[in-house]
Amino acid sequence: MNRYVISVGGTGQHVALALTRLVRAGALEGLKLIALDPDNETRLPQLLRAPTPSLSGAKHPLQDGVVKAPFDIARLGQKSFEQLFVDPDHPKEQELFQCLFDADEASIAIHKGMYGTPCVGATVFAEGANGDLIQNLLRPLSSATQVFVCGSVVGGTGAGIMHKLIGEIRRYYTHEIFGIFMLPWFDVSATGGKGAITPATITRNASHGVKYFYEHTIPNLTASLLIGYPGTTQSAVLKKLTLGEGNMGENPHYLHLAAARGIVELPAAHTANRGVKAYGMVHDLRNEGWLLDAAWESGVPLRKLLRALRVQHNLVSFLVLPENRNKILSYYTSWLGSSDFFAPLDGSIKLNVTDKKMRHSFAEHVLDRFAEIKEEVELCVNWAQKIFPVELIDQSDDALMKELSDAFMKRAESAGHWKRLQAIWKGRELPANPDKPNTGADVAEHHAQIILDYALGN
Amino acid sequence: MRGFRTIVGLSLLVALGAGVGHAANDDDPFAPKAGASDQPPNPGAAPSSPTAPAAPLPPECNGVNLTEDICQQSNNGLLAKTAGYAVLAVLLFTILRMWWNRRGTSSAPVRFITPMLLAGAGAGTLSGLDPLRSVHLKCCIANHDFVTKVLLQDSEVARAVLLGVLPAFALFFVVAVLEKLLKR
Repeated sequence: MNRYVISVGGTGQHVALALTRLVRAGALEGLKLIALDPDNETRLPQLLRAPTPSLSGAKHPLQDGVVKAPFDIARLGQKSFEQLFVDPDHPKEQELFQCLFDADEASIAIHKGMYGTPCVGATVFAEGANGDLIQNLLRPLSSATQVFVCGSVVGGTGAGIMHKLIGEIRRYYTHEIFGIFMLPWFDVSATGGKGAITPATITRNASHGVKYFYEHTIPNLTASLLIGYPGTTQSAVLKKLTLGEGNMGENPHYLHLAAARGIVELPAAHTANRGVKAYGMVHDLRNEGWLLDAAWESGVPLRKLLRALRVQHNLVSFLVLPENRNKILSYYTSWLGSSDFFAPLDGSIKLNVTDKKMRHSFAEHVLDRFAEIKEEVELCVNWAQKIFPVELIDQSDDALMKELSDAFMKRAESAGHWKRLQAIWKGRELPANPDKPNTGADVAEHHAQIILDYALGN
Repeated sequence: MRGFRTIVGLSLLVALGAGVGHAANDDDPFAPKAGASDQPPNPGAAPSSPTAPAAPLPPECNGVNLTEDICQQSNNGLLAKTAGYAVLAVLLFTILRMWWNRRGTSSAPVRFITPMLLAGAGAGTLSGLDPLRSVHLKCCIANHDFVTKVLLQDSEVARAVLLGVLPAFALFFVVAVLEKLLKR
C-alpha cells in the first residue's frame, strides 16, 4: 500500500500529528504525508516537522513532516494579499479588488497564513496552483494507491484551497480520494483585535464552507468524513476548546483522533456502501473510550497499545535515569562494576562489539537511543492522556502497571525494575549481523521492542 | 619490622590455604629447639619473659598432656581455622555481592566495597574470637613453655587483622577479579 495523506492548513496539521502518533504507536502503518500550509515557522508546523528530534527527516512516522507552502512563498515574499494582486499604477485594479475584498482581508500577510479567510486562500492558491512548486509536491501521487485529504472546511487555508487542490490531485491520481474534513472544533475568544478570527468568522466560514463542500467538492471525492463539535454537549472526552489570539501551537483534541480514525473507517465504509459520499461520526457518550477499544490496523485495540507503550516508557525511563546510565557505562570503564543487573543488554553489546575498548562508546549509543525512544513514546502517551481522562485509559486491576508505577517511586534504587528487565530480556540478546553490523540504535530498538512485545502479551 | 613483614606475607598465604605456620616459628629466637618436645611439660613454672606473663591456667587444662608437637599441631589447626573463617566469610559475602549486583541498586563501588568490608569484619571477628578453639590450643597459650608455638598468641586484635581481615580482603578481591575475567 502506498497511501498518502495530504494535510491542509493548521487543522490538517493537527490531524497529521494525531496520525504521527498513531503510526509511532503501531495503530496505523504505511502513510506518507504531504503537509501544505503557507506558514511553516510557527510552533505547530515545527512540531509536525520534528515531533521529537529523533522523529524528523526520513525517520518521521509519516516519512516527511515538513510543511510546505502550497504556492511559491519565496516569490511572493512578505507582501500583503493586496500587494500581490494590485498594481498601484492601475487604479482600476484597486477598485476591482476593493469590490471583492475588505480592508482586513487586503492586509493579510500571506506568508503567515490565511487568518480564517477562505476567499484569500482560494485566490492565492488559484494564482499559484499551476506553478511548479505545487505540481512537484503532488507528482509523487501518481504511484499512490490511496489518497486522504484532511483539513478544515472552516479555516482560511483548508477551506480556501481544498476544492482547487483536489482538482490538482486529480491530474496525477485517478483512484480513490477520501476526504477527512473538520467542521468547527474549537471556539475563539472574542477579544482579538481588528482582523482577528472571531466566533462569527468561524460560524460564517462553516456555513459557506459546508455549502460549497456539498455542492462542489463532494463529487470529486470517493467518500468523505465530516467531523465537528458544536460545543453543545460537554463530556469527559468531548470538551470545549477555546483558543486565544496568537495560539500557534498544538491543541490536542479528541476530534483529531476521530478524524484519524477516518483512515481506517472510510475505505471500509466505501467498500460496504459505494453509494454514500459523506459520512459523519457519532460519539458514544455511554462508552467514551470506544476509540480506545476499537481495533486499529494492527488489529490491536488502541488501549492495549497505549498501555504497552506506558509499560515500555516506564522501563525505558528507568534505564536512562542518569544514575542508571552511569552504572551501565561505568561497567565498561572500571573493573569494579558489574553487568549482572543488565546482563542480557550487556550480552547484546558483547555479541555486537568484539573489541572491548569500543564497548563503552557503543553502550553510550545504545543508551542515547533508549532516551530517544522514551521521548517518542512520551509523544504518544502524553497526547493520549490529554485527550482521555486517566480513568478511561487505565485498565482496572492492572497489576503490572501498578507494580511498575510504585517501583518507579524509588527511582534508580528500584531493584524490581532491573529484575523485570532481566526477566523480559533473558535469552533475547541481539546476535551480530554478519551482513550489516548492528548499531547501538539497533540494539536499543531490539530490546525496546522486546519490552513492548512483553507488555502486549501480559 | 622484618618479622612483621614475614607475618603479614605468611598470613596472606595462610588465608589462601597454605598451612605454613611452622615457618613463622623458624624465625622465633625463643622457640624451643628441635628435640625439646621430649622435655616434660612444666605447667606450674614461672613465665620465662617478664613482659608476657602467662595467664592462670584454665581449669580445663588440668590433666591435659601438652607437648611441643601437640602445640605445633594446635597452631597449625588455628591457622587452618582462620583460613577457613576467611574463606567462609568471603564466600558468604561474595554471594551477597553477586546478589546485590543482580539487584543493580547502589553504585558499583558501594556494591563491591560494602561486602568486602563485611567479609573482612566477619573473618576478623571469627579469627580474633576463634569460637572453635580447642582445649589443647587454650592450654598451649596458657603454658609459658609452649605459648611461643602459637602464632600471634598474645594479641587477638593482631590475629584478627593479620589472619582474618587482610586475608579476607585479599581473597575477596581475587575472587572478584577471577569472576570478572571469566565473564569478559
